[in-house]
Amino acid sequence: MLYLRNVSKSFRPDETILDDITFTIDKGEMAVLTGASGSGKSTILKLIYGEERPDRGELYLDKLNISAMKPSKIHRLRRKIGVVFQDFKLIPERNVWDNVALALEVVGKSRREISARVTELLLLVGLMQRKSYYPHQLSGGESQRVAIARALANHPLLILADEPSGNLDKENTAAVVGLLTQINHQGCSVLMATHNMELAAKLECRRLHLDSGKVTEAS
Amino acid sequence: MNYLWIILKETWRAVSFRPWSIIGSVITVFLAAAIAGAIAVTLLNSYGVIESIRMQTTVDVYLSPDIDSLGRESVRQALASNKDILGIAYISKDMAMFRMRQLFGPEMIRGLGANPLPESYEISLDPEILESNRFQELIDSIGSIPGVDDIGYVPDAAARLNTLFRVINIFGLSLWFLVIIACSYIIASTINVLVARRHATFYIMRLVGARAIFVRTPYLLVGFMISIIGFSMAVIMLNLGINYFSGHIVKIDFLTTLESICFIGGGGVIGLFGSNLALRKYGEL
Repeated sequence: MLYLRNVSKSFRPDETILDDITFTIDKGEMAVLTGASGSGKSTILKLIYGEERPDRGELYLDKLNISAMKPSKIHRLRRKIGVVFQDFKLIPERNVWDNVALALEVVGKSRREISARVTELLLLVGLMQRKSYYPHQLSGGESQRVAIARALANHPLLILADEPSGNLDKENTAAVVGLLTQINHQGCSVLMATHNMELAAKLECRRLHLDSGKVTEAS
Repeated sequence: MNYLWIILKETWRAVSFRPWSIIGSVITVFLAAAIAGAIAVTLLNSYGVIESIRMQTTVDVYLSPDIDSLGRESVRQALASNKDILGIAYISKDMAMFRMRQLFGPEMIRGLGANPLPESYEISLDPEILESNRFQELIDSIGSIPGVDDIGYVPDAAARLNTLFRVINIFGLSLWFLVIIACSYIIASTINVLVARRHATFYIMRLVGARAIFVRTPYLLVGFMISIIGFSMAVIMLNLGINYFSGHIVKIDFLTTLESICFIGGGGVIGLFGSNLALRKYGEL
């Protein structure tokens, strides 16, 4: 489903961030991508959701050639992917309900569809009672659950989570990772990037490790 | 329908995010549009005056003192056959004297004794010929008609009118150009401020799959709205002002309904242009 072949990326001529990496993520698979801070984990995710372009190589998601995609068509890709960030990236002037609804509004869903789907997602992440709260009124764990609900809104093929537990305590980390695992069990592929080796070791899923620009399968 | 509703909602969010910036922008655009409108009214009135002067430009064809009625008719026919001559009016000696009396008063005329003024034809010309180099040719050809004694005209009147017309055109268009730039800049600055403050929001919108047009449209609408309101206010204020002056001081023609609609519509286009100018800075926003 997700396919990276011989992908390379550098931001400066003398420094290669990603060096000829190749891996795939199958439909319904969960994988954790580990590596030190600054090793290029976020760059891989950015290449997948089309914020960066590879210098060489190809990326495909469900027959979409990401590497050849024009910037004006990038919305097609992003409607197939849900992205979760360490800093949540919620819109401060929108409440919980509206933040989740945003992902459905932008694809032109009707009000009835939006209402039904947002209710479903807020029940899934356990935030129905907080639906009219604004981001500044939420805890870190709650904010991340809103971000996950938003990422799931359009039934994505793949969830990309970039250090989703980076700003959370142990309890909330467990809750968020549990939620991602639950989502994966429902058939959605998940690729989670983290520098937290302890967290990665606890997860019962495929592990990829990024070091010196190369991705290897970790045992 | 839902999409339109959401875009309108986003437009409202954009407006309510910094309402004072929007109000300030509307007022500034209104002032610039009022200047543009005043220029338009001045130009239109100037064109009217110049056009009427051009239309009233006549040439006097004086007939020989010994011409008889057949000769007079022959001159009239020769003049009538020229397509550049639009109108011919016969001025008898008595009519010429009457006009002179009107012009200088009876005291001045009394000393003249017998009427020394010649009969003449007063001809009005196609305004096009006043601006072409065929004017002198026409005068020469009229002068060669048998029975024509002399021709009275102001040789450079046409050229002077032409120059005045061009100067007013250039001046008006230059001012219009400046107003368009000023309005575009004002709107672009306002949109820039709005967008800069919400840049993170746009990033998130694009991240969840919004098309660039979905993010941009509310801001294009804000720029359009600022312009439409500013230009409409200018049309209303100018109309009120001109109505007042026309009633008390001097008659001034205002823009017609169609011209007013075009003026406001043009303002809307400037608004869209200004917004687009600001949004281009953000690339694939």
